[in-house]
Amino acid sequence: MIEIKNVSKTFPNGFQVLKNVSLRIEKGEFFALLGPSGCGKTSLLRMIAGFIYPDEGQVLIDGKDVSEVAPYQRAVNMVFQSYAVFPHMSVYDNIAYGLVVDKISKKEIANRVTEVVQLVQLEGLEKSMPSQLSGGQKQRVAVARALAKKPKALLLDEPLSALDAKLREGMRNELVKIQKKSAVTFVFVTHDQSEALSISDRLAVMRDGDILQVGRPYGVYEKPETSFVADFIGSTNLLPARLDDNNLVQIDGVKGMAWKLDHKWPRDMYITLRPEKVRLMVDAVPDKSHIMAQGVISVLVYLGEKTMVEVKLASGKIMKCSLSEYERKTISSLKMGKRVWCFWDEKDMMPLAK
Amino acid sequence: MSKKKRQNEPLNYSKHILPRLMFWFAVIMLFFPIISIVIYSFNDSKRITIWRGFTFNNYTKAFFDLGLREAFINSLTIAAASTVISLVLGIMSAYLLWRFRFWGRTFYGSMLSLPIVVPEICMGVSLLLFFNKVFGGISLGSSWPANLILIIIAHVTFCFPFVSMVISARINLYSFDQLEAAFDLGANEVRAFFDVVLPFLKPALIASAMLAFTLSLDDFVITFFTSGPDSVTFPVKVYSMLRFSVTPVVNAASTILIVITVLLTLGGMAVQKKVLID
Amino acid sequence: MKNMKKEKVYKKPAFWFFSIPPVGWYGVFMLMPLIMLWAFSFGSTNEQFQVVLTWTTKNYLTAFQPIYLKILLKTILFSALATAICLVIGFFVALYISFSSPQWKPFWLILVILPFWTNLLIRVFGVSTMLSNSGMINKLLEFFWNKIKILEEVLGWQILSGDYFEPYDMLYNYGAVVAGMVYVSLPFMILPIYSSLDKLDISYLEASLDLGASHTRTIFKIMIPMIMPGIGFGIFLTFIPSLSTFLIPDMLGGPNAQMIANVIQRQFGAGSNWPLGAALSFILMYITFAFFFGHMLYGARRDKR
Repeated sequence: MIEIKNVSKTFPNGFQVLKNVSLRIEKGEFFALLGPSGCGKTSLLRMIAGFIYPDEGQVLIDGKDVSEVAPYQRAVNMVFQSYAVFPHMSVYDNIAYGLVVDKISKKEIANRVTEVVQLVQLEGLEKSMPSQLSGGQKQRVAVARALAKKPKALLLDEPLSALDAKLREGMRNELVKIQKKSAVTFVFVTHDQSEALSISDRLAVMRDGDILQVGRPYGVYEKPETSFVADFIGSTNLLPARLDDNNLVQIDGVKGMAWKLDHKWPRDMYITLRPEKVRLMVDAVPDKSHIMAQGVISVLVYLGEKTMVEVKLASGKIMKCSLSEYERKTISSLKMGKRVWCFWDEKDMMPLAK
Repeated sequence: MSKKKRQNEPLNYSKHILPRLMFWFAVIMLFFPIISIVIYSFNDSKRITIWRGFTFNNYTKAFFDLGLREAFINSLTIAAASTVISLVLGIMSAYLLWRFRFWGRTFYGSMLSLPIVVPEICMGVSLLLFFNKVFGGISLGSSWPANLILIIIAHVTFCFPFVSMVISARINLYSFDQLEAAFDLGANEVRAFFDVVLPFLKPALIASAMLAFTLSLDDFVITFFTSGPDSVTFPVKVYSMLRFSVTPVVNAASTILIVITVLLTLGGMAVQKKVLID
Repeated sequence: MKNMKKEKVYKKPAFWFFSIPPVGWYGVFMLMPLIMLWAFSFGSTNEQFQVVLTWTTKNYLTAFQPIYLKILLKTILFSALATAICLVIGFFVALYISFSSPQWKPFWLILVILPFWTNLLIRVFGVSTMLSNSGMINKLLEFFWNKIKILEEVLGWQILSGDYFEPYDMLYNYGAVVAGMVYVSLPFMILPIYSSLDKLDISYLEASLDLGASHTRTIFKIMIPMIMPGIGFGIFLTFIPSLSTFLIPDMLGGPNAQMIANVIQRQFGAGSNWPLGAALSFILMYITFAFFFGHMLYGARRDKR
């Protein structure tokens, strides 16, 4: 279990990377730190690894304060973005490197290496030099090398970013398998929201040195707490809205709204609506039970498994709408410049403070 | 929460004690001898290491020392002449290697790096031997500047391969197409060389001229073997002064040379920066 | 195009215009003297004190006499010692500079290069004044000696013998020569190590620390193997010039601590045994070439891996 307590960090150049961050990562979790570049996610990971020390606050691993413990004395291991597989050592020596330090018997080292080599499926490559390996294989060596130490947590710094798109997806599933098999806590840093959503048990969204939201992928996706999270995780429609005197939500140019929120919400706010929740109707008016708005199709992009449509509403606002292949086929005359109705249900909307 | 004093992060070796100590030790060690020469050049004493008060006398003495002045003028003349000749030969050599494919090209190219590997002392004695046996019978004249010709030849010999290498590095960036375009537009070999190739080489020319000038000005060993009693360069003169009487005048002379080299190098760097920006 | 160039090249006046001056100069003033020196190494002096080419190996046999052989071996040994000292100091200095903050780095580098801009003769002269009996180091020692003397009187103990400070003779021995070589070569060791350290991806060092290796282990097992090209080049730039250094032993070593270059110089000066000097020159050159090609081979083998 890893606990981050009120951690702040300012770099010598005056840049504050972490601002009073607190976080708890449970044992055996696959945890993702997600955010745009410069949000402090990598710094947080490196702090857990011990490469940077917090200015304030504490880092605890299994209840022990390790804030200023050197990385070689911490029971966590890291997989680097560039893999950092030692080029002058064979695959075997790379994996054994961390074990030799621990003064384990040669036989035990060999056993442990064999074990992790099987786990990451590198059988037969033990004697190869890193220059003979592909990117994906190097990545496996990096994972094996860290897992061989039986760490309390494995820290992965954007491990998939250096792989090409095809390989990335395979490796993603591979990492999930390895994590489940080894039952080690994985902490995973990424800027790719689909990666974070697809592999993590829980994730934290970060921005400008703050953690904005922590939760399960489904929860964060469905119930974003801030407009940044809503926009960063997946794509979304942010509609400016008002609460009237009766606490009813009003959106310009949108019909059929009868949504009452409690008085805690501010008068000026946002409504977030996922594009895949928005449906379209051409040449007809949707059922009165829906919430709807009329507009003109301004962008139409066919992406294979789905079609992205942007509708310019009467209010001037752009409504993004994602149609599945099935939905697209039911609408016959989808064309640029066509007048359409966008419609959705009340439960699809989420209120957000401005 | 109160701010504790934090220990240094693990991977900052500039904060570790040993590198830090070694660095400052090295810097002090590197500067101490030079600074002490400069300090003692203001020493009002006959002995160089016993301090007897501050004076500029050593500089006036150095300035009015005929031998020193002559050696200084010799050094500058030799450096200027060998820079010009080295530059001409170096340009030709680099252009030759780039422009033409001829028999023995690789051999000539690799032989050019010989002055880097051949010990200076060996080059010095070989030139001494050569000048003695070949030019021994022919009098080149003892009057200035004819008496400097042998030293200039020696300096050009070890300078121009360096010039050639610096220019080669630049000329290899040049596209052959441009030369062919010049031919296509009616330029002959000579015109094409002067009109399109030479302007491209300008930054390298300045860099290599500076290199040749400092190499020539700084050289002691090869000059030592090729200079005669009536053709002495500044370093050789300082060396003989050190041999006979070590007085603070030597310090003054050395300080002048230090200042000149530092100014030359800084000036050269500034010029080069300007050319690169242009 | 490439083929055409080769065929017609000898018919072009431009080729001859650009080739004759540099190749001619090189042949006459670089190769010819070396060939003459080589020939001289097989010559002997006749009754008229003239050197005649007799193709004798006598000069080489003389060169391997114990007196010369000893100096040759000492030259190699002390050059190696100076290189080793440079390596240790240079490594840490390079480490310090490359881990300094970006705004200080160029300044530290200039600081290390600056002394190299001054004339070699003046630098060696500076070292000799430092090491002399009335030089800075002895003055510093005298200062501490006097302080300890005062302490002795206060405590009533006898720590130092003698009533007055006797300056240490630091000049005119091999120690001074090694110090001089270290002084002159240090920047040449620092710069190549620095440039390969600066290119090294920090992640490798972090990975090593992360896997539980101490700093010492990380430096020896990861950092040093990975910056080996720079270290090799630094050793090359320090060791090879040290082998043939003339000025340093001449000014700091004196007659008691000579290197091979001084012996060569003497044969062409006071000793006046030019054939022997030529033979010694070529032995020095062969040794230099051997180390040079050794370095090249090592580099080629490492790159192939």
